[in-house]
Amino acid sequence: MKSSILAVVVRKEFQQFFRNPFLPRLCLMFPIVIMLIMPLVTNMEVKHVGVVVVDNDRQEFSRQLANSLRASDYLSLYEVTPSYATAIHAIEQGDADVIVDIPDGFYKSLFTAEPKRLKLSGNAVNATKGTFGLQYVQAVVGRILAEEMPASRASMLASAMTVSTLHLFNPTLDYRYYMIPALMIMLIVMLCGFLPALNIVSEKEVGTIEQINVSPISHLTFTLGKVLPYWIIGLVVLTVAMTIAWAVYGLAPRSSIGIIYGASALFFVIMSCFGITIANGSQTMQQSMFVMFFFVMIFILMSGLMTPIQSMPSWAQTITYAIPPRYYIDIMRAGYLRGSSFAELLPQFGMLAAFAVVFALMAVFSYRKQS
Amino acid sequence: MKLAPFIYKESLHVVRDWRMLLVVIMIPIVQMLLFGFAISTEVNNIKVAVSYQKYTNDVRLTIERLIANPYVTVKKYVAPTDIYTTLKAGETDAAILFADGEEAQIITDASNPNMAQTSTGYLTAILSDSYAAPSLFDSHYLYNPQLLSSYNFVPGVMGMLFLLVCALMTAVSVVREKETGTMELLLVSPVRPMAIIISKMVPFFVLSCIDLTLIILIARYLLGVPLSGGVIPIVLFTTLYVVLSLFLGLFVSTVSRTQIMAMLICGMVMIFPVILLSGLIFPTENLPVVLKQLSYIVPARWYIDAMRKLMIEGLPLTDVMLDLIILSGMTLFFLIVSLRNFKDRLS
Amino acid sequence: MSDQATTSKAISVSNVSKSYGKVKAIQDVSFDVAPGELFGLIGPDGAGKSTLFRILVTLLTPDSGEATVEGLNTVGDYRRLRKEIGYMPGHFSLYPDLTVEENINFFASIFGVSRQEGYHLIAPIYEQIAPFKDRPAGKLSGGMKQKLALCCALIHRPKVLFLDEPTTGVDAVSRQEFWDLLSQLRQQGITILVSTPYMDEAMRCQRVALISNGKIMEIDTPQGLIDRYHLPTIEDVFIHLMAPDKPIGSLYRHITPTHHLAINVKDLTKRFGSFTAVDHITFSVEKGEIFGFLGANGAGKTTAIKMLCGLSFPTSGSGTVAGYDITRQAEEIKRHIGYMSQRFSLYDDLSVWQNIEFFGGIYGMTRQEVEKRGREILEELNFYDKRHDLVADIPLGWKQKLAFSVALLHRPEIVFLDEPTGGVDPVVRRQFWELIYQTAAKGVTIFVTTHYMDEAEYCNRISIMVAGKIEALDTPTNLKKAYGAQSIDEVFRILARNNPRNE
Repeated sequence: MKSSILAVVVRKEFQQFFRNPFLPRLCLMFPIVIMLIMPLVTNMEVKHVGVVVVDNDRQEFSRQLANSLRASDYLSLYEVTPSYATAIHAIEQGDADVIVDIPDGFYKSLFTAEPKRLKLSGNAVNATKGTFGLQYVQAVVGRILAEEMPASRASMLASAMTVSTLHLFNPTLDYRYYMIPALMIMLIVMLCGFLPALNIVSEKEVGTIEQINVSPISHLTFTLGKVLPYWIIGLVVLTVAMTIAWAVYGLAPRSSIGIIYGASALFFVIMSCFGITIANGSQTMQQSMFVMFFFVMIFILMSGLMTPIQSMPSWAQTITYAIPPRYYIDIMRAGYLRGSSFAELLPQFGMLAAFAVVFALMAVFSYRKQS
Repeated sequence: MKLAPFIYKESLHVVRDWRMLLVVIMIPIVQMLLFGFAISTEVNNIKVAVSYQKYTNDVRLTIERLIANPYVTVKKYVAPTDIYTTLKAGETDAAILFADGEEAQIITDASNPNMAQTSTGYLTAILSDSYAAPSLFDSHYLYNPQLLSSYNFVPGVMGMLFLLVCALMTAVSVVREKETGTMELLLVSPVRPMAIIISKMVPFFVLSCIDLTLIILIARYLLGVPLSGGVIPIVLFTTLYVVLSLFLGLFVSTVSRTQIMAMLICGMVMIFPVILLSGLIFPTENLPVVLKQLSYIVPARWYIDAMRKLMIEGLPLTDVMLDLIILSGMTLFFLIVSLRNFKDRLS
Repeated sequence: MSDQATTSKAISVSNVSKSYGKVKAIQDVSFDVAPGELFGLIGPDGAGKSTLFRILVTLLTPDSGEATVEGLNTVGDYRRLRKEIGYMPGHFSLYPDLTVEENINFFASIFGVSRQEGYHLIAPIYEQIAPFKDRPAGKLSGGMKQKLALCCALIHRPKVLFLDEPTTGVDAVSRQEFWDLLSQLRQQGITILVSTPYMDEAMRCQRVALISNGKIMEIDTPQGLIDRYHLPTIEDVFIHLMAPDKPIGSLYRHITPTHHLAINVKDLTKRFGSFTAVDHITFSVEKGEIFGFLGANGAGKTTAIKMLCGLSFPTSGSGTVAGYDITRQAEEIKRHIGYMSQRFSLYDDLSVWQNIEFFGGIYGMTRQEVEKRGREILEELNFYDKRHDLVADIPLGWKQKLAFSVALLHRPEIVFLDEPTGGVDPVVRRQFWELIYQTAAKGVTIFVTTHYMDEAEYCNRISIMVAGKIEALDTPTNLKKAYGAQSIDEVFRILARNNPRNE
């Protein structure tokens, strides 16, 4: 393999890239749009839980309870109604998520030996929202009850220990900080995976690949010549995305920038080699796009990008070890938020490097000059 | 005009490309299984590190409670000064520091805020030993008592899948005939344009029906979604959405010249917003106002909304009238626009 | 019938013009075609033939003027008109993922006929592709595809048939069969409008229109044109009208053999499953020779070339190309050969110079070498000033010459040309052969396949391949003598008619 031949192939790829009316703009606009809009959307914080109160008790206490529900940051009181049917209807229409049902004579019963119970119902169609919603409501209601109830019973709610909380690495619990590194990864999966695949399949469809096959260029040079441009484009896209993260959201990596770029450099190779492998085995663009889509879907869902890996059952967790983005996400989040050192991330780096080698070999050997 | 030979030919195109056929059938299966069994947003395994300055009886009892709790795994005991490094290295999700017998501090790795918030909730409850408190409440969950997050995903998966199968594939299949030049022949033949369009759509419609059957079977028998509203409204509603997607695809094909363009338009303008704005993964309530209003023009938003009500809440068809009216309107709109745009000449 | 031809018109075009943006594709064209007439449209690439076809088959509306077919206006009555006409576009219009048979059945059914009804008509051509009837159309060779497309266009019998370059890439024997078929159709009263780059085909039309730059230059019977211009053939008339400054003369030049072998193969064989595509071929080519590698569509030419170029492993047999073993030194061979395919595979989205830099580079040439050699070949073509033009924007004839020059960039010892002149008009073809001769004169071996039998006459030696075997190999003169034939065309027919694969 001669480096001068490689340089020629890479230069040609860039000439074609910049000649294309669409691709350069896509590579610039896509990260900007994703980084500006997505953080607004990818918000899994549970806020604005709608509460509807069914008041069968009609006491001063009920109004007080409604007021404190209204005052909560996370809850919004939809309505107070005497009818359970109305409340259910509000849930069905999606206007409320939690029903607080105050039974008749509830307040009075608090001062008796047999206190009645508040009935809480959470809409669990969205399980996360349902559980969080119930938790919030319990906390708010618990606080009022503690104030209202006779001392003997209040002790039931008081803590044995005073508990304080400290959130490290993301003290404001800003969900965007969690998602921004994930968004960068999605960008790279899309651009570095799909573009080289499209590139190779279009050379096949136009027929220029034949002209390359009769030339003495080696498999390795050809594959490298296709990977390298997307490696460079990946670096540019990543830099754009990181700049936006810093300028717009004030998020900069806590670790050294070298860790981020180092892991990304490996990951670009993995994704573009993966795209090339798929393209080498496809005849048409449509075919390569659908097969890519299928794998990208598995990559994104199973890598822990959006849902924590540790919530998965153990068989699924085992599968994630074979999914390269898993390690990249670990590094990106650790590097951006926790400020981990290279030594701490060594296992992840090792796995990424191993995958890069495997995928590169797959890309080189799936390219067939001869039939 | 006899449609049969046309439909036969279009079906051959679909069957010939077995790789794509396989992918189209596998996507819903794999997605449903992954969403149903593999991934979830629930937090059910919190790894904690425990650190104490004084080992009092209270501390011992609390640690015992932590160990006994199924959601919590006590990973290691560390010195107070090592808490930071343990969390930084990502070894545990949270640490508990018992300052003295009376006070405890929960320190979380908040790089995943949801996780941090939930763990705080769990751990606080265990530490404060406030088991008595819930006895004042009689809490239960509606519609999804086991709190399976898969319930929420099923309609979302459907909303995206039918768009992919119907809109994207119809668009690409029409544009491919333009690119290869066979469209010229079809146009010059005595076949009516309407026949060309309908026969293009039939195989994808059938494919959608297969996918819908798979989804319903998996949802009912593997995921245990109750489908208490009955299957018929679901099928009816989905048929409407499938038809809408087919015409969306036809519309895209009338505005794109190359297959790549058709794919990019479908990907960027249709599927991407569906993932973002339809509530498939991210709840629509959290959207900023502008985006929220934008989401009203995304057909999948209405379909997914209706599917949640029909499949999971088991509401009758009357409760999804609004969705039905809006989707029907959209279908009519795209039907008219795409048929008007479909040129029976070259431009 | 000829009396009525003047009174009724099957096709009538009056003052039709059509522009794409600033480009005037058709300018003020008028002509009439009588019912049952076989009318030829002849002109260089980009003359506006395809635009004219598309206007007549109702796909495009003219900017001005009007056209009627069978008395129906192509704009106003287009729906009714579409029931009356048949059309075969200039490029393959087949479904590559459907099999041969499925393609035929589909096209029969959209015109509302069953395959049996039209079958006897297409039988002579269809029987040649019938052995491959279960193969996807996309996997057929170029000529086979064209034959299939012809069958698809002819399966129903319309009143008027529009054929845009129907025989490009089709071998000589099948072309003749196809034109026999057109004559039959004409006798049944079908009007046919056909364009072709083959001048022998133009001779079989009743009248031809010569069209250039969107304007009609001449309309007459082929013989009438020859008589009026006092030239020996219609090809000469064409060249005279299109490029009056070019001298007309024989191209054949004698080349003294060097007795150094450039290609030497023995018993080369390639099997695909039970099908033997190339069956024990043995031949050698001398250095500096122009070797014509002829054969009918599907005879195995392309497979043989692929083995010689190191793109495909032979199943058995041995040989050397440029002194390197074809089984073991494929990569070495690639370094010493040049290759140009039917598709002139240059990158459309790069400039001419960028293509040169790229192809020079992948052959390991240094920057200086590419600079010097690139300038040299472009100056020979008088194209150096336009080297920054995009390939997509240059005319087909130039693209072809550039593709050839690019194949010569790394100074290969042998150049393989796979149907380099397919679908190209006579003027451009002559220019191209001039270039081939100049190159051969420098000692480069030329290995060329073609379906133009006049081009075969320009070669030093030719081989004719039939059903995977080489049936004849000698100089054109000796072959004609041996088969008692007037032309290579005749020799080819004699050999190819016995093709066992057609039965």
